[in-house]
Amino acid sequence: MSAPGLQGLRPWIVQRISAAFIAVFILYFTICIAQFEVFDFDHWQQWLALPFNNMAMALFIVAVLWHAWIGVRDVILDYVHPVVLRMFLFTLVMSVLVGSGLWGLRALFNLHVA
Amino acid sequence: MRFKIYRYNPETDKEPWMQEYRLDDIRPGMMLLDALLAIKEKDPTLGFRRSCKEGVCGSDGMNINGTNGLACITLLSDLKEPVEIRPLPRLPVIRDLIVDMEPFYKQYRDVKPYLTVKDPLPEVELKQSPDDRDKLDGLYECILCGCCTTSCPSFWWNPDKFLGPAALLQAARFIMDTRDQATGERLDALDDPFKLFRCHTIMNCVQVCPKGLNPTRAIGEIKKIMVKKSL
Repeated sequence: MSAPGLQGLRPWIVQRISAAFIAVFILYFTICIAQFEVFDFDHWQQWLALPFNNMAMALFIVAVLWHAWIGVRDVILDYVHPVVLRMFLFTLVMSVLVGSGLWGLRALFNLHVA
Repeated sequence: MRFKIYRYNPETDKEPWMQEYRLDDIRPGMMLLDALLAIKEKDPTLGFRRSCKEGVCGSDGMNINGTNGLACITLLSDLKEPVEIRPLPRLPVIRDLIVDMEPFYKQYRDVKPYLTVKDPLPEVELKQSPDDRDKLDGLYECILCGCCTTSCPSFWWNPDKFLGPAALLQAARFIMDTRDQATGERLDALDDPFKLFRCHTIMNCVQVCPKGLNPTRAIGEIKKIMVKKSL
């Protein structure tokens, strides 16, 4: 392998599956909020209190972040050639994405148990 | 008709430069290669490759007004003036329009472009049904001119790691071949972040292929077969 630790087929499949899930979720979410005249914080809480919606939103957050990771990873692989800079950018992007994911899931979980 | 041609002689030039030429005797149906040969009669120092003059050998691949193509099958009447001619992009220039094709041939060799048969070979030829043979249409016709690979941005970005559309078309040609018995090894060799998966379906390769082939579709077929194998 020309780049130890990085794969070819698996990220490509994950990118497509996550894209399909993101598209379906956005459609579902749009249909849901279209039924409210106003979608304020209370509505958000009510909507996310439903276990199905809560789980779907959690999966959506994971799917978006995973999709973003593969996309940004590809851009870095295309354009950034010095190995040290590439590793630095991978670490930076991964940190931001994992941090965002944990923050999002924490907000979602706190909301759910409230 | 006016021409601007890339000139570079590493023995005498510090940097490449563009030389202007003018040809007055343009006949209907004249191809760009005819013009280049006429220019070469005036200026024998101009270097370019050519052989068959029929779009079969693939020797005269070059960048014509920003798009790769074969000079011998490019009609002068289709070109805007001044016709700007450069060598194929991202390959080392040996001289003028002559590039070092070795990096391109290395990619070709990397996909092992030959049948691999593990069973004892039969006394007669390896037979194939007409339907199985049809699967190779659109794959085997490649003349290795290099127009597709050198027009691919993924090749420009990672020329030493991405195999490029021409080599991947050949990989597909042997993966699809029902007589080949190394399909698994071929697919495993391509499961890497660079060799195959740097293709972002930009499709420059399809646009420039002088034989009308579709490497992007072949790459997509390889991915489909990989997915099927992994499930």
